[in-house]
Amino acid sequence: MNIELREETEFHYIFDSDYGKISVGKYSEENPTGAQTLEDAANIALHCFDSAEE
Amino acid sequence: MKQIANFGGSSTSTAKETISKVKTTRETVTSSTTLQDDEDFTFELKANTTYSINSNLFVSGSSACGFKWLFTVPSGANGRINATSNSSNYVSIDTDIATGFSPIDGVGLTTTAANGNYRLLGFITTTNAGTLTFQWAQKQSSATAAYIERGSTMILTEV
Repeated sequence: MNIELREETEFHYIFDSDYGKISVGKYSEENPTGAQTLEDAANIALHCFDSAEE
Repeated sequence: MKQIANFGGSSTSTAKETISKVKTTRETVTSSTTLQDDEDFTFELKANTTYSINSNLFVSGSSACGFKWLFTVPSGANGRINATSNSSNYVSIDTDIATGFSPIDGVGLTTTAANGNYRLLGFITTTNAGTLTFQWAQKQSSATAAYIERGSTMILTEV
């Protein structure tokens, strides 16, 4: 899957991908599973469908 | 001659507006419970107007992440939404359009499996012109994606 960063907001890294828009949450105390860096967010986006029940 | 009905052909008729939106690509949220604006389902509404809302969503929110949603509405607007599904994974509810279960969490769904056809039927009555936006996110933050699939639709019809 190809991804490209579209924009970064207060709460999300937003990517364009072969599967459309993917918003990845940023890390915070309230969101400990979020991405801590852009690289981390890209990795989460690339694998977010791995365990999704298609 | 006395006019007994108006079938839309006279100069006094006013066209009723229908706004149709379809999602042409999948949209995904992962590792986030923060409600975000949907890419496609946003509508510019007129003041002092009632619209019916008819939406068919192909949603995937696994047991790991669930799914939650809410509408943001123009100031002063009110309305209700009835949500149903062909899948027992998604509960049926009837709720205020802009409040849901809570203004922060919206309508949160704890699911037992991912895929569901989720139908929203309702109305909104405006006092001011403004924007109606469908927002959604994961109910529980998870690296397993929640998404709305292409082909999902939302149609607003002025009534």
